[in-house]
Amino acid sequence: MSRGTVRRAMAAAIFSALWLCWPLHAMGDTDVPVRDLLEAGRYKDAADAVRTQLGTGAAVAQPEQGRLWYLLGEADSAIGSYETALGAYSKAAAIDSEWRILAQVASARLQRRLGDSDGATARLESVLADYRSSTGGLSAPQLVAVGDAALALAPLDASLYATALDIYEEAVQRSPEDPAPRVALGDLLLDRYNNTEALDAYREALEIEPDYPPALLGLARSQHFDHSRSAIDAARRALEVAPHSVAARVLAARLLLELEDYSQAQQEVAEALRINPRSPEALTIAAALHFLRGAGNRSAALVEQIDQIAPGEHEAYVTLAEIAAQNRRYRDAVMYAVRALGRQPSAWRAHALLGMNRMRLGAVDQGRRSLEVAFRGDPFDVRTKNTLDLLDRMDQYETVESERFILVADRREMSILAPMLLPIAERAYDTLAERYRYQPATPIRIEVYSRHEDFSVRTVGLVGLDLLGVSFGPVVVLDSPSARPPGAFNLGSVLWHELAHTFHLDMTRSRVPRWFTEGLSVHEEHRAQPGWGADVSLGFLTAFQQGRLPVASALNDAFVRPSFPEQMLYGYTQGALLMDWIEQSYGFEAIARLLSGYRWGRTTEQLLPEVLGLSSERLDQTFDAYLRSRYAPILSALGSDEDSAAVQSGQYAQLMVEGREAVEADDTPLAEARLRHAQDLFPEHTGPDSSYRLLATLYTRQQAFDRAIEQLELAVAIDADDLDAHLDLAALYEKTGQADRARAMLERALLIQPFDRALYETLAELRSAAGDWRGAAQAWGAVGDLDPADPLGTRYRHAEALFRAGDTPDARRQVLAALEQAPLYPEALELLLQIRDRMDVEASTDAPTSGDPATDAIQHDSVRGETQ
Amino acid sequence: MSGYCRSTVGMAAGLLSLVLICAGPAVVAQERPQTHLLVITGVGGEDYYGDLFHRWAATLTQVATEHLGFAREHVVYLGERMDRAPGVIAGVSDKATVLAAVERIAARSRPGDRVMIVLIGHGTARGDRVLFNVPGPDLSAKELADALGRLSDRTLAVVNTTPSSGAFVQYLSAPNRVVIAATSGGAENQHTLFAAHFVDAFAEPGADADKDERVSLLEAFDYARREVDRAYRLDHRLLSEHAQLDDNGDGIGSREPGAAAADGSLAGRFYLAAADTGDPSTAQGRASLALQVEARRLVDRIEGLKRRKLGLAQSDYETRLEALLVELALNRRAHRQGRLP
Repeated sequence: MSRGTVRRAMAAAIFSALWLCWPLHAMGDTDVPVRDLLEAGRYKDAADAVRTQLGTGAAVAQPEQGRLWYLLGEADSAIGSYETALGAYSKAAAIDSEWRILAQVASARLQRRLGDSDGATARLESVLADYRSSTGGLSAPQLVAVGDAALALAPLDASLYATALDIYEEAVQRSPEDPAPRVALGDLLLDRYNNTEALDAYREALEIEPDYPPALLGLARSQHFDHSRSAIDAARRALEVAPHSVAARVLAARLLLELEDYSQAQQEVAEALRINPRSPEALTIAAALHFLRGAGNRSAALVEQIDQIAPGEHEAYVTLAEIAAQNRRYRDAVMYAVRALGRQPSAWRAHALLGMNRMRLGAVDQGRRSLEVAFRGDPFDVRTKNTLDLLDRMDQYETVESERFILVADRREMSILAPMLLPIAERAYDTLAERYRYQPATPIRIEVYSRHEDFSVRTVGLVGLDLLGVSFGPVVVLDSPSARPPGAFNLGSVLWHELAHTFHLDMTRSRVPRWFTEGLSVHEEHRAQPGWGADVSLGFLTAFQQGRLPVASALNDAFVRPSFPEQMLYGYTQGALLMDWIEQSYGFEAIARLLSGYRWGRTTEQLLPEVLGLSSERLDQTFDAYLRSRYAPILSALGSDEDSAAVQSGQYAQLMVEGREAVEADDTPLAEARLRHAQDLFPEHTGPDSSYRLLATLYTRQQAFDRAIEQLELAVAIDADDLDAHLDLAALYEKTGQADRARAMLERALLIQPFDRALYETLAELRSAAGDWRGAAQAWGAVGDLDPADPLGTRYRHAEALFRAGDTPDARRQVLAALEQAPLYPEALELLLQIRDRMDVEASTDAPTSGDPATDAIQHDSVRGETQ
Repeated sequence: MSGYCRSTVGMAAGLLSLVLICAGPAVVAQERPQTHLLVITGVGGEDYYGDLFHRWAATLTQVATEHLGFAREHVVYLGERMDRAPGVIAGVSDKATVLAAVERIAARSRPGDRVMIVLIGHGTARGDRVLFNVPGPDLSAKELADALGRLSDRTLAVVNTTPSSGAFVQYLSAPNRVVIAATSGGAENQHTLFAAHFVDAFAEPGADADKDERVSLLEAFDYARREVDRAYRLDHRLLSEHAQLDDNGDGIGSREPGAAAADGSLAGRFYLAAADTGDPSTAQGRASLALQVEARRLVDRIEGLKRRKLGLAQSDYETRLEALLVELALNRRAHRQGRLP
């Protein structure tokens, strides 16, 4: 590896233009006009003023010349005249003055930017060597500059991170009332992923100087690190006090871009480029905006421009890779990461991005190799470490393949999940491929994690992600039901949802907006099976009535900048309703055309008139009217209050209260009157407090089982997540002799609670009773995998079902395994004799069995009859 | 699943009693060891717990008399309040009554008899104050240990299912005695689930790991421990009770006892259900005995084969195993059908 390859923390480069304000002041600068010009953002005027002073020639003393050359470097650098700035810094660095160290570090920074990495490294090493051989006495700004030098060299020697930390802390002690060293310390800590202490450092700086722009920017970056939506507010506050700060403009633009407010982001970038037209950081965000808007050529042209301005830097590619990944453009993220590494092989962040995004595309082994390289270079990166730790734990996982899917799951859960999920996945693929007339590349990898933390790390490298599933396109990642409280969600519907995303992402080359694919995926769940997908809730309708939901054309706000906690959840419902409306009004072809338009880089604003013939405003009005019409009965019954208690005060709430009281009082006529009226108003209301469940409880108590069944059938047809309703209904079916329906209902319940041993035991008994021995064998096998209370008894029942299903070899294997542990197990011994008898018959006739396993099965109930 | 479906036929169950059977029918009938069960529920503190403790205790006593072959007079249930089940609860479980009940068992039982005492309720442990909370003054571990001294020549099992019950082990441990506690020590002082699953081990199928149609204390302990673990896991709760079993008299319980472990040997031979041994004075009884001897021989050969498993090819092992098992199956079928060998 070339020693000239230096990675400088991006933050330091961003802040370079801003920092020039304090050294002048802190180091006794008395040239107020130049300082005023710089602080006013009049960099060119400041440069002219300095040049004028330098032009006076001999009258300027050596130390003063050092100061002036340094100032000139700062002024030229701030407007992108990097070559002339480098010349000025170099002259300042050659003069023995208190500015020398600052000039050396600043010139090294520019040397690297302009492609002279070896020269930059030599200069930085020289600064560090001088510091180490000095006897102290450096000022706080000088110490910060030395710390910067150590930090810049740290990617090649990780021990220098600690050195930089020590030097910054020395600077803090040297000048405790100066906020700048604390900001430098905060930047280092944030760069090393220690946001907690970084935040403390920024806050300490702001206590010293509440409007100190670098500290405000640090605060914004810290909040950004924590995914806090307050980051943009902090960035704006920095801009208020330092409107000419390119760094602040660039950060604000990046934050706005992440909030998908592209027009505002563009304004910030434009302002940054007005100040410094050659700012690589501003040009990077501009390129990202073009990239996200589908203007690939413009984006590429800007990237080329960045390459020309800063041939020695790779950070633009890292930023673009990050932004691409944030926008689900994982292939582009890989491409940008590779280009970053082409420029700088020791760009550890690029290795990490390459690894994470290769894994998202299903290239797990390649991804792991990249992450291992990243970790060796930067062991502080918590995302990399978490992901590698997860991969180490993946030896507990195994793989099962079907025609078009690879299922990866905890080996303790695979025998349950594979027969459940792979058929759903195959059915989803066939269904969606026919509907969209599109076939995404296969195999598609489905990873199911038995720990939510692992799911979260696999998805974003960190714990704390509050989702159930994620689709990266060729890879779908899911929480296993075991990762959540029992009965928390329907695994089948979540898988269907994520596979719909896979179609949308592949069809649009990952350009589909989030709101669109979320709404469409819920819509596909609704189409796949009754009860699947997010339902309209009272909370949703209340929020709609109170005007708290975004209009249709701004639905993306619900996902990228929700204004209240439930808004994202409501966004799924709202999106699905919008898709319902589009398909009802314009046919599915309209949805297909919208997807096609996204594929070719068209925006929603462009597509709405083309496909639906509607402006955004007209869409908003029409969809609003549709919702008001569709839900008119319940909206009118919710009450007219505009506060959040509306739902408590309306007619609907009153009906439910009276209905519940009537159920408790066993007053059937009143209960039916109230609760059926409630059902008419809002049939989507399900769950334990719903009219369906209340009436089912009443009817069950009265042993009016058929009526209870009717209510529960309505409930499960609307809500496939309601485990209790499914179980109650299965029990009622069984009680009323409807074994087939009981079985079917239990099979549906297993999608909500697939690791429930008792469910499988009941299912096995029902299947046995129905003569479905193959199904019974599968269910007993599942019981055996679920840590049964009676392992040998379960194995025997499994063997018996296999035997009756005609699977003699497997039956023999199972019964031998049981008897190996318990040789005197009476029923198992008798079954073994029957298996032997059948094998003898088969051997003597050398012919298959009758084809009817139940007939072939030798009756042995006498044994069980004796022992039960 | 509910109800009691355990078999009372028991064919293999008698195998361990062959020596006694051979000693002669009159002697066998007279000296067959008896089993005595004393179930004590302490104070519930609130109705929820009081009812829960009663339900567990009542189930255990019912299973003992109705399905495990206990003579009614050998089952005593002392409870917090007699009105929970008049006629079932023999007395209030205050300290004096409990100690008197132990004394009565000592008086009416004989050396060699089996005695099991089950404590259900709340318990506390602070320093050397290790207590079972009963109505009135609590019963201390030391007081109970002193009382049990009267039963030193019986095979004794004490099952303390209360919170903090782990602290009882060092007090109660003694030779020829099984001590089971629901917790690893006194610090595990939250409400425990162990009793529910320990009772289930006798009331529900599943605990009989070797399928000999009887549940040993070791099997019951393993079953209860496993089901407690599962219950906590399913509830996504941190396991806060770690049951232990001591039966080697060293006062140190094992979390995973077994035949080859420090503890478990005695518990593995401690059954509540009586062995079904036929009558050797008749021809049919002698035939049955011969079949059982042959079955024992086959089981021994199977165990020997299992020990040589690693040195055999899988298919060869399975073939040999199957041959022995088929022979054993025919033996058991003959025994069941009353045929002579």
